[in-house]
Amino acid sequence: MGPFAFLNALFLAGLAAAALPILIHLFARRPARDVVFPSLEYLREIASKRVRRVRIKQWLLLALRVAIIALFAIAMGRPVLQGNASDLTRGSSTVAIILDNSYSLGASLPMDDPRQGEAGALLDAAKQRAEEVLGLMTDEDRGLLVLAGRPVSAPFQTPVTSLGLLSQEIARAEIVPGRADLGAAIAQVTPVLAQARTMNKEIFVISDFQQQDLEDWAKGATPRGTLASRLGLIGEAYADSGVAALVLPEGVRLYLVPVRTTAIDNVSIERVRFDPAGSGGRGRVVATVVNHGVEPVRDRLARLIPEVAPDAVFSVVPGGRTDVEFVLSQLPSEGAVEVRLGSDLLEYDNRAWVVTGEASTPRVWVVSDGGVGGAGASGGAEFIATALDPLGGGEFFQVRTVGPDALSDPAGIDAQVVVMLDVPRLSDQAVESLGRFRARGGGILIALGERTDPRYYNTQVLSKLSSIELRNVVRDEGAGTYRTLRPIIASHPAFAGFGLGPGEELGSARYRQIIEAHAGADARVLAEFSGNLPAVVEDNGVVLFTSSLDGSWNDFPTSASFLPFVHQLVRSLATRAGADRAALVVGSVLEASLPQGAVNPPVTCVDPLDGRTAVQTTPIDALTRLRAPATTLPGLHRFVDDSGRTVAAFAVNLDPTEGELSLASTDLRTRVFGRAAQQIAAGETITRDLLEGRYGRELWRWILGLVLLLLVAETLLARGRALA
Amino acid sequence: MSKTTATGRAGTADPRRFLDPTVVGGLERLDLTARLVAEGFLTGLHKSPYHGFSVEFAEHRQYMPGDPIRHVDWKLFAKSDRYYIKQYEEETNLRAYLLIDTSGSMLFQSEPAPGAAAHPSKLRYSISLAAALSYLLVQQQDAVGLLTFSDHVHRLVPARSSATHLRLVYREMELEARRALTGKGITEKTFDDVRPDVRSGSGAAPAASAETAGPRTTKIGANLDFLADRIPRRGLVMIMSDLWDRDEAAVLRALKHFRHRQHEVVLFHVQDPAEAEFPYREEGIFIDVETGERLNVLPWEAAKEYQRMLDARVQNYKRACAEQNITYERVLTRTPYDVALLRFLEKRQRMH
Repeated sequence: MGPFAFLNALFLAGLAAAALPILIHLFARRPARDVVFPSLEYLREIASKRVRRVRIKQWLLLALRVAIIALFAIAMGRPVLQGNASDLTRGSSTVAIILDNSYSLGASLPMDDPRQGEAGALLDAAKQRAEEVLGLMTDEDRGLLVLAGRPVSAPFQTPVTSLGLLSQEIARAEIVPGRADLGAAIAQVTPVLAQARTMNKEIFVISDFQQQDLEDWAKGATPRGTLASRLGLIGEAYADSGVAALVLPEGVRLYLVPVRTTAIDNVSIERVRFDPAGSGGRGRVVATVVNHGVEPVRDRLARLIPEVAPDAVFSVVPGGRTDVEFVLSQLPSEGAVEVRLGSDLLEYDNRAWVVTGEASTPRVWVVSDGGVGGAGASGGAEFIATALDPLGGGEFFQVRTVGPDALSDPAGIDAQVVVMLDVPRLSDQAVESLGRFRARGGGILIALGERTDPRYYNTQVLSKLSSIELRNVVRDEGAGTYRTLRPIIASHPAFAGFGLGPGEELGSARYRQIIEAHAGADARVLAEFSGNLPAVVEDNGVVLFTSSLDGSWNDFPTSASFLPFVHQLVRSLATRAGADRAALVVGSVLEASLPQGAVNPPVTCVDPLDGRTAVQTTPIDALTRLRAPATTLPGLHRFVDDSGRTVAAFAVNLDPTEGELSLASTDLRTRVFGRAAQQIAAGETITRDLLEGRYGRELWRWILGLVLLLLVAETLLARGRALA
Repeated sequence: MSKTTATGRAGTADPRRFLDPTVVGGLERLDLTARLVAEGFLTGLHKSPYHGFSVEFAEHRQYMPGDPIRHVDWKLFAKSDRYYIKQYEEETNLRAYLLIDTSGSMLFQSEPAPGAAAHPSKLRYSISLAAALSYLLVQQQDAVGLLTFSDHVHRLVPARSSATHLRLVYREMELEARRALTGKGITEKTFDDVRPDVRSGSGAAPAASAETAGPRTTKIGANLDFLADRIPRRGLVMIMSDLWDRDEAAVLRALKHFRHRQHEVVLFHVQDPAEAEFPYREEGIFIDVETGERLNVLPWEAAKEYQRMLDARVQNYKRACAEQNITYERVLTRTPYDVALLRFLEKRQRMH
């Protein structure tokens, strides 16, 4: 905009109509007719006296009519005159307030924060800033409020003129147990501002601007093809480089209002899992705690609720994580426990839930087609069965050795894990049964061997159960090649207890034969052999070990890590259903598949606040699939059937990344929001900064007033003719 | 009474009507209508206000039954105890002169308002009025004469009181009207026939001449003044004019001249409704019917001032006439002339 501009420039086309009076004057005048009159004695005298005056009057009337039409067109064009800012020259504004109400705003203000006495939490401070913005608005302005915590919400779909309503909604805003989605919030307001017909259009983003949120955004966390990218919010020039620059519509100004400028130390629970077979059968709960702060955490308390285990004390170095273990003395009656840490400034992420379910040793079927095994004279199946239950009492696993035909039994697979050892062939029924087994939460461990036909497995087994594909056979002559086995995803439950970081070795052994496996779209490599050969590949409950487990292709069973590796791998598969459920965060859809007959519909989902929603039940083969809408609350959610029995339980936790409270640097903010965004420092009042940005005056009212005056003048001037 | 006007055709605006053989040959019609008007007045038991007007005492004669009682000389009766009637010198010989303005402006005739009857030209109106008055006067044994003038005196018919003389007066009136119409036309439709030079846009007014083609110009004051000296004896002078003479003072002087010569003067200010009310609304090129001068006029700008000036002239004449004991009568041509005449006569009746 220059010094003088138009908000509705299209209406200026009406200026052409100002030529109408001139055209009418030139072309529409009727030629004067002849009038015979007795004597021009008087008329001559009158004409000589008045001719000049009449001419002036006529020109004046023409000028007035042209001016009236022209000024009306100009007024319709909404002219604005820009100048230095002051209260006297303010123009109308459309203001969008984006208020971050993600749970990081639930952090209490540090003691040394000067606002400590006025606001308890960051959200209160954010609301105060929002009220400052409202305080600058007048009756001519319109406002829009968007709450940026996921899911992004807006009390009003269109800008409102009532400041009272806006203030009310700001006061009502509450912390949501989700991360902030500033990109989606901005994407929601920019189309509204683009269409606004006010002189000023402003967006105020009031947030703590967490580094993690902006980094995800900068890396193109908003996928292409979404609304945000279609609106051009992520600059195409930057998208490929992974750096995003916000592009706003013409005339829209962006103000960044941080609610804190200092880091806040925070400890949060990153993950919690339940190990049902750990430590003697009752199970144990393991919580992974992260220290996001710069100060070490020493001797902080952690507790289980209900108190089915003694309190634990933990320490974490800055930036580090630790596992806090609770050995259950008994299983909780609710089938779930809450882990709670000692207080810090952000309480929300100090709590996490995990479903415990029934504590019993997992049942494992070892499927083998007989044949010569490796170590031991019992054959491969017996070898693994012994490895899993060395004492034979089911202390770790209840193992049953079966042939492939057992998989086809209509009675179903009565186990949590199926271990397939070098099984050459499976019937179609068996494969289908495995598919159903996997769908209802069962885990499948496939180990290869001499009788494994890769081509058969690719077409008849793996392709129907997973996206894993067997490719080349890597064969080393003689005793084989020493290869180390190292985890790729060290945090996977399969490697729990080993205390390994990424790249560290689990063990080594000689390998004579390995089949190279390819992890498809949904699969991932959990561990690899040296030489970059996938060793353990997982796809949604199906785990493939790319060599043998019975010693036929390697001497891995002689390695010290073999036994704990097999145990942990099987255990991770055994707790898969529960582990999947424990990995739910707020916003996840709750799903469970249960055998038909195990559920009496209708099924209701009961949330932590005892709210109830209907659960969709869908029969699929021999199972009943249960599905509830996305969660909005952290805590324990239960599916309860018609008889009042809990048929499935879900522990929903906060997204742990929101607990990382590091602030985005100014440079990062500039990269994301662009150089045009005005960053308001915490100590600066919005009033002063904003008035320097608002300037100018809309002139249409004045011009319309002038048009009215000219109309009156034209009427009076032309009155003589009308009365004549 | 019929509304037939002297034109012979009610609502006709064609000035050629004077050349219509049936009209030209119908002098008796004028006579007839004039007679009807006058007799209508008489039938209404209105006595002529002009009867026995002359005040010059001549002699006494002995009263005979049937003589008007008002003429009895009661003073003489008181002295002589006998009844004698006063006789005046001009008792049966009132001389009335009808002075009719036949200038071009008198030929003006506007279009009637929508729904209204057509009205005659001022000249035709004046002639009709004069004809009726003539009949009335002759009926009462009074003499009537005719003088027509525009920029000069055209006709002078001495005053006589015979019926034959009356017909002569009518004929002269018609002839004058026809002569005034030479050039054919005084409305917009016929003006181009009248003034081909004007239509071409030259706008130059030709020199006034009694015998040239085209409307005559006006010199009322000068001509009246001339006539004041030439009308013998005192009598009744009835002037019919639209008074479009710039030199009002000259006109008033002439009127005063008549009064100085002991004449009774009646001034009929004949106006067309258009010139009296100026009803024009649209811009027009106004053409002076006498001079041919053209002027672009915005009526809405001029109407108010025109009316003021006209009213001022009328008031001036009224006042001046009242001062000189001259009867001033303003008549519009849309008022049927017989109605105008009767109003005038009744007024006179009340005054005398």
